[in-house]
Amino acid sequence: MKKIIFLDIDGTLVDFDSKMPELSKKALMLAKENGCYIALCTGRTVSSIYPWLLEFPFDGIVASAGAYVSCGNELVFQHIMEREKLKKLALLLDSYHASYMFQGAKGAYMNEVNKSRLQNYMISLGFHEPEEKIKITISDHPYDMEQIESGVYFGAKEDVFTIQKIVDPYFKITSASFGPDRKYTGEITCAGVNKATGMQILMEHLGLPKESSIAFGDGPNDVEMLQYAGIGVAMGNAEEDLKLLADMITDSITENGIYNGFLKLGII
Amino acid sequence: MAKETFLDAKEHTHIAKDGQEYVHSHDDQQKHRHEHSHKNTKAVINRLSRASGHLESVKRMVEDGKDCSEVLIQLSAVIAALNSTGKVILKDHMEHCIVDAVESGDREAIENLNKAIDGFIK
Repeated sequence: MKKIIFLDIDGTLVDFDSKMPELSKKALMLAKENGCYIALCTGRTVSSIYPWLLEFPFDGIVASAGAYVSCGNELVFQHIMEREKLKKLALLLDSYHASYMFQGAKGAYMNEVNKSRLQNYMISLGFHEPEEKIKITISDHPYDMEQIESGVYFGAKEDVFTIQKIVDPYFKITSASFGPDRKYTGEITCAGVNKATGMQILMEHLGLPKESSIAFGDGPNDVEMLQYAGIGVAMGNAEEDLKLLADMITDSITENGIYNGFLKLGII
Repeated sequence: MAKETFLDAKEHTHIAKDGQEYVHSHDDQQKHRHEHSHKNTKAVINRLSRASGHLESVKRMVEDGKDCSEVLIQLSAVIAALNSTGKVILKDHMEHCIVDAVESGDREAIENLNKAIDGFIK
């Protein structure tokens, strides 16, 4: 049976210094040579995936945590958030002092105040050139921009569980995958859309059964991905909650978790 | 949908939505059957099989009592897959039939294409 391997980016393929271990690259190439399909499965939008990473011939991309699915040059699926609901969400986040960014295949949008807050926040996390990390378009009304698939916010005065209770149930709030105050930093998606949604759509498009999938992840937005996959693998650097529901735990990203995991599963 | 009444093999009437009747004839009926081989037939069949497999999975999701929002998203993905298949068919049709029709001045083929586009793009 032909296998498809889904890989999260941040904390799984690429470390938080934006580097990918050499052995991970080698693992991907060997797996591809062995006839596996290789797909990205990320919370990032397709426009914010590292261009150097996209040089690898991925068979599919699941981006925006499932709201965007492409296969080769074909856009297979895109789920766009409703403008009116986004507008209400923006007002609510404002009232909770949260700085937010709405994003999609066409770009990422913030208002000016929130963008300068983001720059200070990034510097406080130790990123020294935040401008180069994220390309953001300034917009007075980010909710009004075209093709918004997902969002992120930080610095809310309440934790993600509280925010989830008060937002429209149309939205789902997940703890962000990075940062020391991750409880106050959330990823915004639509209810019913998660990484598993995109995996299912890509596999149906390729005509592959669910059992043929293997997924590697480390963060809170990888829960559904690891549960849905035939074999769900948690990185050594993953949180305990994620490790508990994984079928297998591999080494951490700094200890070549991808390469060693591929070896252990007999992919390479 | 326009209603068609065939008076005989050659001359026939089209009745448009507004009730307007169009009577016209073709010199050669064979010319209008467009029985060319379409290069994407195999791709179209593959896409339809997969969309139909996807629909089966959606049915199973409903049977398994999956969350409504998840079911609705997968259903919209099936619809997206069918729309993409429709696009492949239309493109194929344009390439193989319409180019010929334009060259030979076949108005009916062009009218039929317009109908197909109206029906497909809502």
